[in-house]
Amino acid sequence: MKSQRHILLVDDQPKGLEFLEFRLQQAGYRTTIAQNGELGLEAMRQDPADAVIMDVTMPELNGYQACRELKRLYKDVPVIMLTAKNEPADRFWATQCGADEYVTKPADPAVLLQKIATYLGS
Amino acid sequence: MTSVAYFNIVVSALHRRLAEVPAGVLARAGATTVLCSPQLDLWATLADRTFDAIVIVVGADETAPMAPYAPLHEDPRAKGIPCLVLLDPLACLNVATIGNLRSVSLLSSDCNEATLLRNVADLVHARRRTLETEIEVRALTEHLRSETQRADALTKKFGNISHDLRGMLAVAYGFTCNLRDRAVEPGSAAESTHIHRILEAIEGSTHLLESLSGSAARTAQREPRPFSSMRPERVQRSLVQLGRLVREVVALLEQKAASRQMRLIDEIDDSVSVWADGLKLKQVVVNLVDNAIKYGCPGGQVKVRVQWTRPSTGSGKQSRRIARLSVCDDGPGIAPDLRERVFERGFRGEQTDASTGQGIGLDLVREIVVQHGGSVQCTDAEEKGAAFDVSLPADLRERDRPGLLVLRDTDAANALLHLLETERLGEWRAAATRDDAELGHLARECDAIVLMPASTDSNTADLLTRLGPSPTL
Repeated sequence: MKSQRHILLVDDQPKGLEFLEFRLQQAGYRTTIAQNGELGLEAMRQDPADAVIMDVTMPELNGYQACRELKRLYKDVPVIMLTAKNEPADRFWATQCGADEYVTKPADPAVLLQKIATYLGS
Repeated sequence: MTSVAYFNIVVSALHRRLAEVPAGVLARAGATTVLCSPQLDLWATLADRTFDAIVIVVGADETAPMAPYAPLHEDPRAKGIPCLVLLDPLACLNVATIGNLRSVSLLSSDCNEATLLRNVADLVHARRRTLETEIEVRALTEHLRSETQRADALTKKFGNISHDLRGMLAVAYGFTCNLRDRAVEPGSAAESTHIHRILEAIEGSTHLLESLSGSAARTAQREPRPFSSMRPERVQRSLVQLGRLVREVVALLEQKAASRQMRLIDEIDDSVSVWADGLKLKQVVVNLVDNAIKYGCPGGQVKVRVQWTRPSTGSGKQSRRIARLSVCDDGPGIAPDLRERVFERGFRGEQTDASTGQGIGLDLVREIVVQHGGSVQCTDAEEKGAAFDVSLPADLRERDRPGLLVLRDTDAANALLHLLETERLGEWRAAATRDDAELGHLARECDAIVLMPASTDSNTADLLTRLGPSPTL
């Protein structure tokens, strides 16, 4: 049994991450979903996660802004951007905001699990 | 083109006798001339009528001869009217003064008659070409603006659909990966949830694709015309009785209105006529009434009003009366922020269920109205519903005292009408007809009749006898 590591999923359309949530839970992770950057930061404050998977295009606080703030507060928590945006400029901004990974949709849940496992050393 | 026939020309000089010779030359060549003095009646004359050209005659013995004409370059009534100065070779002229006047050409008053006529004709034709170019540029600018807005709207729409489609595919892909990896126990509730989600995503993608291809099809239907054909089509103008045209359209669409239990009500001032392309104008009216029937309230009514209005501001040319056509329905109306957008090409309102009607789109309605020098606006109807107001200049040749030049309808007459049509500064309203009864009717309202050579036959002589002495022949 893996230790109950906590993953925060941030996406304004949580239905789009349902398949990933299923795989993460099946792999023994605990998951929390937040629907925009602002709520994601709030969720982190209340129940800090070990890793964050975050969309870019969201209302209120978008993925870039939320990632920057998150990295300022929780420097060591890995952030994986998961987005349909696929322009070089998008990748550049994600890096500028401190994201550790940039994965474009459609994403293979097995690949994402692998990345999480690598970051968390599990 | 050297003919000055039918031009209206002011010939002005400080001393009347100086103006008489060139005025005589122009009049003999078919122009209508008015002799004026800048110290007496020039300004009142310019205020009263519209002219094609001003000919200023300067004598040898005048000091500062152009000084009295200085207001010409400030007077809006003279704006753009070409000005020819006939200068005595011995006159001493302050060139700087001349330089301040717009569109001034100089010519020696020693010149022969042909040179004078050619110079006046060239000036007037150059001015007409400028006016036509200005109108074309305005129409092209409007066209480009609407094309750009339409392209922006479509890009945004396609961008949104493409984003949503990618999201759906990502969902289907993710769940399928889980099945591929055997992460879901066969026969479990989780498996059926996975399959359900995948099907849902595929279905959603199909709907999105349908809306995308629907948009593309609608776009193709309204494919922008290539640049080469963007030049506004020449409108084939004639005198159009707006009320008669509206009645025709109302009769045409009455049955359609009845099928929605709607009544078409017309309030028509029969004196309203415009110098327009009847066929194109009919398209405008059909479209507006058809839309009103489509979007009006079933069981309600559509009101079509034709009347004269005058602009609330402006003077001189600006105060010419305007023919106004209003089409009002009693439907839900159009939100203020959409009232300009409804005229964009490719714009579709929310009520797309009924919007597959015949006729042309509102973008073309506006294009036709602009081609006629008018404007169209969408507003609130008096009580409830939407109102479309079309304003058309009554006739660019219209005077305060309406004049009408009636011609027998022959090729030569139509050539002359065409010439008058391009003459936007002239003062005549003109019409041609083959029908003796109509000719008689028009003749009673008109100042002059021109009988073209082909019609000088015995029937015409009879007709003239019947018409009596009132019009000038």
